[in-house]
Amino acid sequence: MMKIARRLLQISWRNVFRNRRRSILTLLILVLGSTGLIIVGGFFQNLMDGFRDEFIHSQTGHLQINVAGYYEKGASSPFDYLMKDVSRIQQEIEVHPHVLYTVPRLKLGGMVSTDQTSVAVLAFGVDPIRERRMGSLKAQNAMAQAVHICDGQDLDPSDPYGAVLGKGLMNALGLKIGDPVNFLTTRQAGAIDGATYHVRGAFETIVKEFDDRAMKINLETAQKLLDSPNQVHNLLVILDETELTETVRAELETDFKAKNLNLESIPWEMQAQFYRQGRDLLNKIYSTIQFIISIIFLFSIANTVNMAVLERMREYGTMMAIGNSRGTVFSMIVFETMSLGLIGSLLGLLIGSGVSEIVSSIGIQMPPPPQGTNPYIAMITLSPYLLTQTFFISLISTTISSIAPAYRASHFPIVKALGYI
Amino acid sequence: MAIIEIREVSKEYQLGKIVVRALKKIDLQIDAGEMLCIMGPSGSGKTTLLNLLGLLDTPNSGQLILQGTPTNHLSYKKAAKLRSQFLGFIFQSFNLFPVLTAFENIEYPLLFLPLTKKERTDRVWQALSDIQLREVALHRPDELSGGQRQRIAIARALVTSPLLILADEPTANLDSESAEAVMSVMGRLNKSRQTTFVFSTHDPRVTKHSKRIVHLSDGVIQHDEDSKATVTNLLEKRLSK
Repeated sequence: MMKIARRLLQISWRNVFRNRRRSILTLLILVLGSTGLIIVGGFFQNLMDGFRDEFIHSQTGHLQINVAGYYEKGASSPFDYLMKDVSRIQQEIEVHPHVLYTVPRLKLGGMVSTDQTSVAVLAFGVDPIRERRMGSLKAQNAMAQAVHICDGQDLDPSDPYGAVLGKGLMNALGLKIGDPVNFLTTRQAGAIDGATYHVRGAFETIVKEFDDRAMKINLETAQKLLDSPNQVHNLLVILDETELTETVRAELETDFKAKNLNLESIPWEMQAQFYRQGRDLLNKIYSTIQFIISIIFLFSIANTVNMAVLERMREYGTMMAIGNSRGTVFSMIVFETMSLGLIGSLLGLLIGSGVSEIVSSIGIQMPPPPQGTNPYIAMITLSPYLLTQTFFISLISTTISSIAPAYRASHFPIVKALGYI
Repeated sequence: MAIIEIREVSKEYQLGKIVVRALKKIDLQIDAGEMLCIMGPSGSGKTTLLNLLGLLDTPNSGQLILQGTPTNHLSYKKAAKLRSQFLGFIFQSFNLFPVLTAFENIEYPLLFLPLTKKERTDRVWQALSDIQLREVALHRPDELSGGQRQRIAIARALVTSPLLILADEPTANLDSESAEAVMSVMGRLNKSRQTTFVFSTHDPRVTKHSKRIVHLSDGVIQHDEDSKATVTNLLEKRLSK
C-alpha cells in the first residue's frame, strides 16, 4: 500500500506543475482570497485591540480589585465596600510577576455646580502619578495616551484642590481652565459636604459617556471629603499582557483566599459591554466575509479541477484498466488539488503578510470610533490565529472543491474513460 | 489450454433512442501462446470484444470465463484485481502517464504486486531490454517517438508477465516503419516468452505477425482461421478483382 501511495503522491505532485496556466490561475485565486482575508481580519483585529487597550487604560485596568460584593451592590451602598489597608493589598498584588502596578480609585457620587448650572457627576479620587501612568499605553510600537488631556493640565499631587473634568462635562458646565467649581457629595454618616476646586484641565477618553459626567480629583482630598482616610473602592491592576487577564485573575483569587482577604477581582471584559458588542459585530461580519471567500474558492477551483479532470479522463481510464481502484483515482485527484491548495495557501500567507506589513507601515487614516471623538491611524494586526485560520480556510475549501470532480472521474465507466476525447 | 473463453456473448449499447447490437452471440476460445488478430471494419465490434476480454466491460448475455472462473458477476474490485494479475493492455493512443518517465510507466503495474523494489527494478530493466529501449528509460513520453511510446506501452503490459495481452489497434497511430517494429516486438515476445497476444486491427499489413485471425463483421464472427489461410483468401480476393 505504501509504495502505491508514494507513487500516487509522486504523480499528483508532478501533475500540479503539468498545466502551468491552470495551476497559476488556481494559485492566483488562493493568493488573492487569502490576502483579502488577512487584510480584513488583521484590520478588524487592530480596531478591536486598539479599542480594548484604550478602554482598559482609561476605564477599568485589566482587573478591578474590590471588597467582595462591591461589583454587584457597591452602587447602592458604596461606603459598605471601602477597602482598608490599601498599601498592604497593593503590595500583595504587585508581587505577582505579571502585574505591572495598581491604581487606586475612590468613587464619589455628587453634584457639581457653577454660578449658572448644576450637573450630577461621578467623581474619582485618584493618585495622579499612577493614574497618568495607566493612561499611557504602548500602541503600534509607540506610546499613546488612552486618557488625553485636551485642555490645560493633568492633576498634580502638589495641587490638592485641582480637578480635571471630562471634556463633555466641562462643555456642559461652560467652564474654562482656572474656573472654580463646587462639588457636593454625601459623606459616610449621611451628611452632605462639599469643597471648592479649580479646573486644571479637561480630559478625553474613548468613551464619550464617561467624559460627559466624570471628574477626577486628588485621592487624598477625596478621602478627606468622605472622611475615609487611606480607604479606596477599587484597585485597578495593570498587567504586562492582556491575554493573561484570566490566568492572573485566578491566581490572585487563590492568593486572596489563602491570605483570608475578602476581595473580588473583576476582569475588564465583564465591564466592557460596548467592546463585546463591537467585537461580536465585527466577528459576524468577518465570518460572513470568510464564508463568501470560501464559496468563491470552492466554485472557481472546482471549475478548474473539473476541466483538468475531463482533459485527463483517458489517464484515469488507463489507471483503472491497469488495476487501480476507484478509491485510488479519487485520492489522487483530491491529493493533487490539495497539493495545489497547500502551495496556494502558503503563498497566500506570505503575500498577505507582506501586503499587510506595507499597509501597516503607511497606516490607514480612520475617523473617530463609535462613542469616540478623535480620528486615529489603524494598521493590520497579524496574529498566529488569523494566519492559521486563513491557511486552513484556503486549504480546506480547495480540498472540498476537488471532491465532486474526483468522484465523477473515479466513477466514470472505464470503457468510456478510455475513449474520452 | 484455454486462457479465456466466451460463450454466446452479446453486447448492446443504447445510443440515444437507438439500440446498437455490437456483438451477437459470439463464441471464442483463446489458448495459451496464441497470437490472435481480430480483424474487421470500423463498427464491427472489435473494440467491444477486446473490452469484454479485458474485463473492462460486462456482456448483456452469455458467459466469459477467465482461467476457469466465470467473470460475469464480478465486483469492480475483484475485476480490477484479476486485470492487474492476469491481463495486460496496449492502447491505440499509447496511454502512457505523461508525468512519469518510461521506467516509471513500466514499473507502475508492478506496484500492485507483492514484489520488492529490487525485483521491480530488475523486471523493468528486463522489459526494457525485451523491447530494446533501455536507453530511453529516463525519458518522459513527450520526449519519445510514437513507435517508442508504443513499445514502452508494450513493456508496461508485459512486465507483470500476464496470461494475456490485449492490444486495441496498436499500430493505428504509427507510420509503417514503426508499426512493423511494434508488431515485430510483439511477435518476438510471443515466440520467446510464449506471451499470448490478442490484438484488433483493420490493417492487413499487420496480420502476417499473427497465427490466427478472427474476422468480425456486424458483431458476428465471419471466419476464424489460421493466418496462412487468411492471407491466401485475401490474395485470392484481390486476384479475382
